[in-house]
Amino acid sequence: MKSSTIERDGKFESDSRFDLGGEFKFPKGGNARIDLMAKSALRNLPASLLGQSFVHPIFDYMLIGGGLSLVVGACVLPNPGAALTFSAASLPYIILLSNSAHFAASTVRLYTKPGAFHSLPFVTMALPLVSLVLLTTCMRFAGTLGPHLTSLYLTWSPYHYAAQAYGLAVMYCYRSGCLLSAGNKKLLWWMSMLPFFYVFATGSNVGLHWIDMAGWLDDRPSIDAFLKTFQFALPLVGIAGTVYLWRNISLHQGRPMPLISVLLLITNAVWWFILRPGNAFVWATIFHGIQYLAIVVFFHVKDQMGRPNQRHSATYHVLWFYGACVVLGYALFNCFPQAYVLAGFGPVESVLLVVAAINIHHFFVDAYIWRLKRADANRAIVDTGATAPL
Amino acid sequence: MYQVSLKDCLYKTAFVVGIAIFFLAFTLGFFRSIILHAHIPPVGVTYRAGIDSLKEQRKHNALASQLRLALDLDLDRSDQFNLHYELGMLLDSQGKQMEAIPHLHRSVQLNSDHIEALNHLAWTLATCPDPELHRSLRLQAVELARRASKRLANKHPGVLDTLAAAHAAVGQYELAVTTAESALKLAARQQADPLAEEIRARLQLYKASKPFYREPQPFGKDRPNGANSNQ
Repeated sequence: MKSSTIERDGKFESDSRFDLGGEFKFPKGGNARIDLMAKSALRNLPASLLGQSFVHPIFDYMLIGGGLSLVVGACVLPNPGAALTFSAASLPYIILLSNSAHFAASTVRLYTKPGAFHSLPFVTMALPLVSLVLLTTCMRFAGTLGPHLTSLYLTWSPYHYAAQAYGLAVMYCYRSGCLLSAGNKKLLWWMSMLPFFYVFATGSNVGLHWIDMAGWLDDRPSIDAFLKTFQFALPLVGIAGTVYLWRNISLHQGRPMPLISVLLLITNAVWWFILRPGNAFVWATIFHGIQYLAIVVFFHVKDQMGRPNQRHSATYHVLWFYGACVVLGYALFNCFPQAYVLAGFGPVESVLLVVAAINIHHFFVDAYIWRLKRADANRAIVDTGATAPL
Repeated sequence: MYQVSLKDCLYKTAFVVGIAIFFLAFTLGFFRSIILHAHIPPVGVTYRAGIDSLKEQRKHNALASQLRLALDLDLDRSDQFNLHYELGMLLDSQGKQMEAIPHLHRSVQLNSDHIEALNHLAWTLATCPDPELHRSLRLQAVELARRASKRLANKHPGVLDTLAAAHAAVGQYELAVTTAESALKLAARQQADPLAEEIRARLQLYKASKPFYREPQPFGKDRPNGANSNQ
């Protein structure tokens, strides 16, 4: 068996998101050790494939892994008129309970995470005011700054979803004892990012077409032809790359990558590769929201249950956290724009730019609250119940 | 030591100010909605209600700038047809036909089955008083009006009136006269007297080999040929 990159490096690379601390030592013992791990994993192949769940395999695969979106998609897409399709009347409520609540969840999590004020003083204390000032400036110059704020959030959205898929995939690998080498981690990152590259290259008013304000790309048919080929090739690269990654990890890391990590990549890819852009933003926002809420509620409950002198049940903490997210989501998306209208701004910028600002604030906060450094409270939660490498 | 304290102090001040503004904004937004609309802010609030409100209040300049802004900011494209169509109609009513035409044209591109949009674009192209309007666009008016009229089995006097105006705009006065006469008969049969009166006046122009160019009409009223009814 080849010597793995981990063995040579002796440690993991650090992630900007879901940072595993950059100091996780691979067990000493060389190839013999990896052989032993491989045999152990093979003996227990179904469990290795299933991975180590946070709550229950069905909950994790359906909600966090995004399996529910594939089930709903399979029912709805062949027959868009089916009863399962969201009606115009019900869609705002579904969005409030999933997507709006998920945007609020990052803020609720930020302020309820133990030690957040101490470890993230800028994000917890200064960012709300900074966001308000920036948003109001964009409102004031809505005609010039507004389109850029909107394009920024629409460009950032698919990156955020891809980064979440990557972070969760790494987290499940780690929990399940599947130690990723630096090379495999890099490949996993590239595979996770493919849907983002897809939207970045081909979406109108986002990514490349946003940067290219002069319309240089539109005037060049050769670039257009290249982008169309890119658009066609990228899903194929995604499939081939994911299969290669899975095989590579199984062969060289002594343990297969859990299927939920693969599912996370597939669901994010399906949202962006298969659905039309308009539908993708609706579907991705709903199911990404559900995915996010499931994992963040789990982390919140674990934090609260671990507090000394806590007297409430887990159900209480789940309901408290989710209720706070729904209320804050309602306040942010439905009350906040009304305040800007009251301040004399037009309804268009008041609604659309508030939405853009909430998105960007969420992406920013999210990049901080999921760190998994050794001293971070998140790390203890991920470690809980994790399968040992051997 | 002093710097750290100052930083802490700034952070804490920013936090208090930021949170206070947020709570104030939430409260004001909540109560504004209750006071103005007698209900809590609706879930899934959009700017559409605000646009409709500006329309009702006849604040046309504010409405035009909001519609333009919505076209720039609303990139999800779900409301693009309505935005272009409403902006086109508004600009047309303000006598800015040359600005209205691209928006009406885009609305037809987005929804080629919308007979009102087809008819309105044809009417604007045919009756725009600007001599700068290219003849090819006037010819396009004939094609669009013909398409709209065909969809209504040539039974709509307003759309036939548009077709007559389009024929006149490209110098096809004989066709304009026969089409206008058909429109007049239909209008009389349907007892649409104001429309019949307008068609009769235009018919005199066509008989004198003159096209019909119109004056701006108030936004929100039926278009001169009444083609936005009976869709």
